[in-house]
Amino acid sequence: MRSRAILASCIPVLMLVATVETAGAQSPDVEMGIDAAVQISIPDDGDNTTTVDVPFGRFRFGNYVSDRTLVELGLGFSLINFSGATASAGSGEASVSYHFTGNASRARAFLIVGGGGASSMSTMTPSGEGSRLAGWG
Amino acid sequence: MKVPIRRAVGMRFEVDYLRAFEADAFDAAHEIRFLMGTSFYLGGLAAR
Repeated sequence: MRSRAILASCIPVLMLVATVETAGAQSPDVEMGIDAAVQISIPDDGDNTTTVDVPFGRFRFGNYVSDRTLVELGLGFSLINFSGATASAGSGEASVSYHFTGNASRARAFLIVGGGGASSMSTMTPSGEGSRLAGWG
Repeated sequence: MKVPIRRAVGMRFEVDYLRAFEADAFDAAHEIRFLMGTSFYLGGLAAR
């Protein structure tokens, strides 16, 4: 099983600053977050790949359009070193999360549906497109 | 008049299934992603 490490992200930090500044103008109902991730890739005709994002691989910003519905955007940047070759890739995704319990709950289960894309800058990976179909958390 | 901004911090766990439409060396056909992160809440949601 191969592994690759994702190191840093610059764009999410800039997005965080901009969001906090605009939040002072009115009372928003937003959620921001940074996520660490372990990703297991299962190609149809190759070896499985495990990716570990350090310290985090995604920044997300969402706005609650109702008590249970969250519209969210996510950004990520990856730097990959594998077998002597280096590649970088940016990714973006948009999703809608539906929470099964109300805001008063400490733990809120949700179902998320969305899609996104990724661009890679390397001779090994010219381009890629992806879509997140469903998640549970 | 200043509007107070309520804040809260929480944890988020997420499991994703991803399907790539154009598979190449790095973009596998099927992907499972486990996410654990920190969430920052601003506004009315943080007060509930």
